[in-house]
Amino acid sequence: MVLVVVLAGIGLVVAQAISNYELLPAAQTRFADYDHLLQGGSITADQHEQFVAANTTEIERLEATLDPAAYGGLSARFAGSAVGVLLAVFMAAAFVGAEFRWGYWSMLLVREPRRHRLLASKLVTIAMATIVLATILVAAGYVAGLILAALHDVPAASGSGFGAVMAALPRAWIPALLYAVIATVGSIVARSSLAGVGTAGGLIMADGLLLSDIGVFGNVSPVHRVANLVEVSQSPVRSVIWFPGGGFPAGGIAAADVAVLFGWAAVAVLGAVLVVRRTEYGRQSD
Amino acid sequence: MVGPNGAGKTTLIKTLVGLARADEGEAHLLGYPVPHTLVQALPRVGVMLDVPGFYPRLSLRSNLRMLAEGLSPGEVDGALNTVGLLERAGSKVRTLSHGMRQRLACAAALIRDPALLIMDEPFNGLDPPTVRDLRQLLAERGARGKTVFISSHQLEELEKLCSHVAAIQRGRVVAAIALSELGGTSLEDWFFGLEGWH
Repeated sequence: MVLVVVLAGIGLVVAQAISNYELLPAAQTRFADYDHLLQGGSITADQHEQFVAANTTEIERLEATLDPAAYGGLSARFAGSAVGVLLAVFMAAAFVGAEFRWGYWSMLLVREPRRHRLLASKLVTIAMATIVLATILVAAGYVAGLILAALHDVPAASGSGFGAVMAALPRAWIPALLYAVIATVGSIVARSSLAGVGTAGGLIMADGLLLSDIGVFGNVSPVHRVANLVEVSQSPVRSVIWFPGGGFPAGGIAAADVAVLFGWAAVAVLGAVLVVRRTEYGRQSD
Repeated sequence: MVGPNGAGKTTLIKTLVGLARADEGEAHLLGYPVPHTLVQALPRVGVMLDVPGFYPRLSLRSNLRMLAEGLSPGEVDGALNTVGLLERAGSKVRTLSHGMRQRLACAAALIRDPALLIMDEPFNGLDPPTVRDLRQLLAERGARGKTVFISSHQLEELEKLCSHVAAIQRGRVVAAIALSELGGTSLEDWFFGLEGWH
């Protein structure tokens, strides 16, 4: 399941790269056709100016995003989006839920009875896995950009943008980490992958639909804070579906945003500790 | 330890090894009160649960190495050899039969040569040759002065293997006997002769 999640993520990133590369020739063709039409004298000069302004901007935007380094940035943003976050959630829930299905926790607890240690080990594993997932997605976007640049005869990037991509990675990773931790906790408490996905997904939906726009709740809303890390639509409904708008906000990462997001993670972990301490593991009774 | 379904055998074992918490009363494992000092007791205890769990896509050897951190590869292979699974050490757990999984669980319990071995229904689902091998293995441990605590419905196997038997019902020990005291009575006759046990 974890492998499926990773492959799905790579597939989505590459598909995004391909679709953007397909847009550039289409835009250039449209421009050339219109230019040809103009030479026939069938449109006014004002119409021509409007067309050039609109389409030049579009072509310039596409050419900018076709830079392989920029593609790494796109996929970093993708990892911070609802889709990237959900991939991390699925990965975390699948990993933890499978261990319960296999009865592995009982095997571990009869060797290490300190349950908080077991819980901590799972959370550290998930945190590391989200870093790996986000890095794989960014790397996939970067490599896809290089390959597609060669295929479409677009000049490859100098690589100067790669540092910016790496700087963007924490912005993508922090939201993925928060919701992966919540999914992990949900899976551990209910001993089910589905419960983990439901807990994280439910929080995203409830937060996006109900809390973000309600006065004081906006300050503690994860979606509101994630919006400071990656561009989030201000529409609650849209923010449920797709976090990023146009890229990464300017400036550094604010400590308050990180504190609120990690605060949510800490509350979830505390709840898990309280439940795990009292939970009975193994087959019910005989 | 014998008793009917629902008597509390598995619950008692789970309480002793820290998988469940008792509502009342005290439990001690190797003299250590549980669950507060399980950390001291469990390194000297091997536990074979009735439904052992392993990573199905990992090999037998990898699973044991994860459960026995700090042991050398030779010690891991030695445990697999003890239960006759060394030749399958590189196979994935998902390819094993139920009996082989039970043997792997036995290897996991034995891997640190514990002073006390606790086994919950170890004979369940095993074919006769595997039952015989397991019985021999446990008898050898007994001969070496190691304690083996078994919960089972297989009265014939227990009679061949054990020195003492306790019967449990509704969470309480209702009878206990050394097999040497049975005289000419079989364990099965003793068990069914207990009051309210039919």
